Amino acid sequence: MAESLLSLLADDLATALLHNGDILNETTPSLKRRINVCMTPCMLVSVLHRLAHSAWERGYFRLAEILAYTNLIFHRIDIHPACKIKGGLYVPHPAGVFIRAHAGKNFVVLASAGICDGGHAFPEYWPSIGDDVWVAAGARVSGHLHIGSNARVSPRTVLVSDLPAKTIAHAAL
Amino acid sequence: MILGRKLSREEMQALLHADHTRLLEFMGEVDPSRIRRAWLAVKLFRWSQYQYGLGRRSLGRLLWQINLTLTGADLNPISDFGPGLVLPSPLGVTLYGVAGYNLTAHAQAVLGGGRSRKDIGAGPGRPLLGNDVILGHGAMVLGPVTVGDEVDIGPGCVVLDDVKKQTRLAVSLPEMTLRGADRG
Repeated sequence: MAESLLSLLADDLATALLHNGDILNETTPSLKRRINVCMTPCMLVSVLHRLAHSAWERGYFRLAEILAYTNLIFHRIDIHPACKIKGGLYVPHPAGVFIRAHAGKNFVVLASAGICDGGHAFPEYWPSIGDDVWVAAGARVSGHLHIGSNARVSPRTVLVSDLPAKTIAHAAL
Repeated sequence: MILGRKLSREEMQALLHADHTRLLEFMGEVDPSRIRRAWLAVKLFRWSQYQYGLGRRSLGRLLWQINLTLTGADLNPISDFGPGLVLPSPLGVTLYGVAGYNLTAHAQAVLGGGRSRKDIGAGPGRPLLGNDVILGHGAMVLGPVTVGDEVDIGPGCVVLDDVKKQTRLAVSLPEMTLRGADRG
């Protein structure tokens, strides 16, 4: 593994604090704020996915599946344990979110978005996503495609082709 | 195929056998863990359909609820799907209607009621699907709509009108705009 579990989780917590915190007053968040953010579903989803992925990488496939299943039952989010997601994953509202993709740093997925290959293919065919990407609520990304860094997918957009870096995809009106 | 059809035990077992055969065919040579949840969703749906048809409605509803909790698929036990139902990834799949054989519904696909309550042979306001229909990722078929055989409904399509047989539907491509360097 390139990065340790704890550093990934620290990155996740930093992103969650950034999104939950008071951005105008850039003071260091208090302990109470940190604990509050750790109890939100976004952090619990990250913790369970990180544990599932590290179990998957070490060859404990059944354990990884159980952890992913726990995520499904408690948070209604389906992240396959084979998804390679770098630090800073942020899923504020996990209900109905479906992720089968490999993503870079600071990946933000909003409510009921779906990211997959559009079928049942193996992890090699899953979409690859760059750093600092947002996938907004209800967006469907499907196909063996690449999303560049700093790109955004608008709400309810269906993306079936590549998205270059620093681009926003809107649903055609 | 009618809504709320009564199945005999042999019929239910034949349906389950056909579903399992098609699932293995569809997924190919994969690790069994990859099809466990897909198979659980279909199996629980068939059981709930069987119990509901026999008149044990509470048990049918309980199995429906268990299916929703364990797999995330909302498959109404009144709906009637022919042999060969495949749900490769059952999270968010909501199906309530009537379909022929070999229905494939990918993740977050929806089949159900719209605003009209017209009955076209699949219950009030429910869609009627032909054979070999593929519902893509996040596709929706809403209201009393007839969809013909071998129709491929692409990802994200919303079908509110009748579709002829052997049609392939896809959404228009999204517009892409460049993000400004200073915008958030």
